Amino acid sequence: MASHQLHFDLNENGDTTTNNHNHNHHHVPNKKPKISLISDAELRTEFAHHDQTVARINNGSFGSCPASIIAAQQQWQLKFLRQPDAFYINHLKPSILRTRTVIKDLINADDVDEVSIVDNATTAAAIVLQQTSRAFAEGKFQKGDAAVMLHYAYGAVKKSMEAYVARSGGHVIRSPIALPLKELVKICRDEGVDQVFVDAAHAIGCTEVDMKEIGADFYTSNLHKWFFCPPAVAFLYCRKSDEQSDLHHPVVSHEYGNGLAVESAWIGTRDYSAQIVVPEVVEFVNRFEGGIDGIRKRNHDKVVEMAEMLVKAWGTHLGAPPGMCASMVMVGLPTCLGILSDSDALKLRTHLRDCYGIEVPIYYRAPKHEEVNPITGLQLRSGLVCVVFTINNDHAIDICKLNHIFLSLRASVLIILAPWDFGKQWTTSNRLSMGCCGSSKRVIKGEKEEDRNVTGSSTSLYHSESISHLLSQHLWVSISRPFA
Amino acid sequence: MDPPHEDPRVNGDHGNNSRHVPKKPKLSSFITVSDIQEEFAHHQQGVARINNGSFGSCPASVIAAQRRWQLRFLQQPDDFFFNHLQNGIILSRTLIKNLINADFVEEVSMVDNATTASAIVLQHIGRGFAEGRFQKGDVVVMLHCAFQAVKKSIEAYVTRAGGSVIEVQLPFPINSNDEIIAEFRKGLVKGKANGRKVRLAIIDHITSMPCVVIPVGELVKICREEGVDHVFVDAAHAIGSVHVDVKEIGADFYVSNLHKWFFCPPSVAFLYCRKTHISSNLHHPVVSNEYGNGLAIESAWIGTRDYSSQLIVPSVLDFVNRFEGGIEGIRKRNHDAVVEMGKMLAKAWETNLGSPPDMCPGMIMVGLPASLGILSDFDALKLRTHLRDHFSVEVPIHYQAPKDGEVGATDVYGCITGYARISHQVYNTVDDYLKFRDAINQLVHGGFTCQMLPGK
Repeated sequence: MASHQLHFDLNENGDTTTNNHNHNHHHVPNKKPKISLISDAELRTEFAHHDQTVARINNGSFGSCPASIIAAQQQWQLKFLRQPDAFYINHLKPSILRTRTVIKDLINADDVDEVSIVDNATTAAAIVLQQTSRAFAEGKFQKGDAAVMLHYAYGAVKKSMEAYVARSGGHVIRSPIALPLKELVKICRDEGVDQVFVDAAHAIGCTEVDMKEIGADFYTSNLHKWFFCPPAVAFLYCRKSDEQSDLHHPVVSHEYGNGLAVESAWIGTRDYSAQIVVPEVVEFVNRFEGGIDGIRKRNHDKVVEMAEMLVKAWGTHLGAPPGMCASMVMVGLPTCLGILSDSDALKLRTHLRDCYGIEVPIYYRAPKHEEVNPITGLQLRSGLVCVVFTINNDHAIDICKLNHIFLSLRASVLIILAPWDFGKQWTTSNRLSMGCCGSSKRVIKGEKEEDRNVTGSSTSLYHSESISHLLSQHLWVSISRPFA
Repeated sequence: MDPPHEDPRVNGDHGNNSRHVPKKPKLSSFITVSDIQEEFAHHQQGVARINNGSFGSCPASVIAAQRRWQLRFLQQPDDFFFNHLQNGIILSRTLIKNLINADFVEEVSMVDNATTASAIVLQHIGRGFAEGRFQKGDVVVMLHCAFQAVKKSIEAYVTRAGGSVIEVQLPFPINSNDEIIAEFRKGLVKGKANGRKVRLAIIDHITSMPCVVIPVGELVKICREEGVDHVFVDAAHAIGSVHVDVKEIGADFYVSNLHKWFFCPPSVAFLYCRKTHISSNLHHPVVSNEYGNGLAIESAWIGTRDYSSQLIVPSVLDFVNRFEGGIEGIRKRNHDAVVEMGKMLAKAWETNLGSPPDMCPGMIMVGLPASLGILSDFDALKLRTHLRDHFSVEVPIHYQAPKDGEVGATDVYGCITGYARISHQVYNTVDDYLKFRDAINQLVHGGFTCQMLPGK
């Protein structure tokens, strides 16, 4: 029965140790001697447990965890199993506090009280939205007061809004705004929005994360996606305010009322090892040149390079310019694949997995009658590609960004601009120059028509009325592969 | 052993485990003493581990199987999510359904622990108050010794939404089920006073501290007679410890932790919800895209996390069936052993048992000598720490305040106010209890009292 034996070393005090890590709880990661940079061979070993037959290019869904962290996590699990009462009394709380402190420093929060550790962003959303629900139920908010979310918010968050906000009498509004985060938060402040919750599930390890700079009330990010933690662990940052916090973990334990961070650190008997192992993950990350910033940057550069390679090979387009991408890029798929629905996208994804050993998520975004797509939406419909942007007339920032996008896309698409309110007249300041591609078919109706076989760029201005006319007729333009 | 695609036991018998016949060739012998030692070799040596009730225990072969599941996810998480996770959880749920004699697999949800299950049920009740289906002041009845997390959950979800709470005082030490039934009836009368409705009764199947088996079947019957809306049985300790038949018990909701007495890794519990129109209104508080698809489906996906402890149930059944009589044999032997050890300790210390043997599961409350001077909850905790740190004995201590006007149990020194809750699980040996016996004797003979321990 030796195969079932669990191997670990005991030191004199009866504490477990591993080959690499000492779990003395006075351990302070940044006081250790400098570790040499990770080599290619070591890196391969760290991820040798990944299925080697798969082109694994979907780190965004479930993340990834190196072997040395899994081993460290297993040591913590064993420590609990060995003497759970002693673990609970002596080690659990200080270990989670250590994790919270490490995260606080990483994200530039002021106070460790602002940092709670939970399973994932889905849990964080439930915590924030339950608080909203209580406010409606207890009359703090009026029935009909609004909660606004981006219309491409994560499915779980949308459901959470339904379960907690709509059900308690709140009015849920879906908005297609596409703006940089900081500016969105500022607009919220300027417009007197009560609370801002940033769902940054992918952010940590993928983009810069600075709580004070972003200025939101609540901010959550998963550590198991881009920060090498085992499944699953996330932080929920809650800015300290003068108002008494009414945030609670939904799973109520005897710690109820001791603050969200303390409540979240004990929600009944379970395996907290993914939460405890975070300091060791920081050590892992610091074995790379530039630490997490270096990893981020190199991931970004590489994914952009690979995306551009694919775009060139397929004759398609990026969904957004590199400046708007982090460690993931949306790459247009050849229209001849005929992806005409969500179901098609899922079927193609399954086909790529089962028959080609490629793991990659496929996105289908159908246009709806009165809805226009966010900047990152690519539509494939009846073999056509259309990129549609929406802006609010009054935002110069939008316009500058859009201009940049048009130029950087090296336009092979016809770009249709629509003001947020179709009825409004364009002012001179709202006009933009756009790149306009050649098209092999004549499709556009309205004021402007394109000739067959026109290639290269030209500058055109579109009047708002013609745009609304175009959009209201669900007009599509066809494009040819550029320079084919 | 690889995670099975299809388990032959899925279509097997309902309820009665001892008729379980695995399809592989019958083992020529049962698990041996040295096999058991190996399975629990990861437990800290030198510690008399007689507190299985708090955190449970998990054998090495189950931990190894769990790691295989964890690795499978890490190897190719998308494939795992799309092709294996849901089937694995349905299999676990089906095996549990058979074990507890539930009618439908939809009635069985897997959650982290009883604490989570309590939040689910109490949030549901809380919504009843918030949405006006219940009157402010309508009642939730619970036992005064309910688990602290459950009490807090009631505060968070019921009291806050306008409900009121009635606590039923149970006597301890206790002599018979009749005492419990009488007190419970009194509690219901109080609850229904002034035209209020009792919306929920929360009944422990096995109370935690002090530990006693409650006649849940009878109490549920009384609830039905008295027009209680819903009955929730908090049976955190039950499975693997006492006989569990949810149809016989007849509650609306029933939860038990699988990691306490059923050898699962931390942590996993099942929440049984009797199929009625009400049960479709229960939701997991962590809302995912499965919201609205039924509690069992919602609970099977609450975002990315490690679901391996929910997937492990088939491997645990394999382990349990290596013992003579399976889980029934294990629980019977645990009960007999803990009663024997309890009596040995009570005799050695000249104290008492907190309840008659037939009201004990795999745990028993043993009176501690009055000379130890356990005069508060804090004293009990200090003594427990002292036993852990200086004697390597892990055992929870309960402080039982003497009731006004009552003498209670006594020994030659005075009132017995402290009880140890000892447990017996397959890994225990007689030495564990002798070690505890000797530790207490040493303290008593040395004139020790809790007042000597630091801290206020």
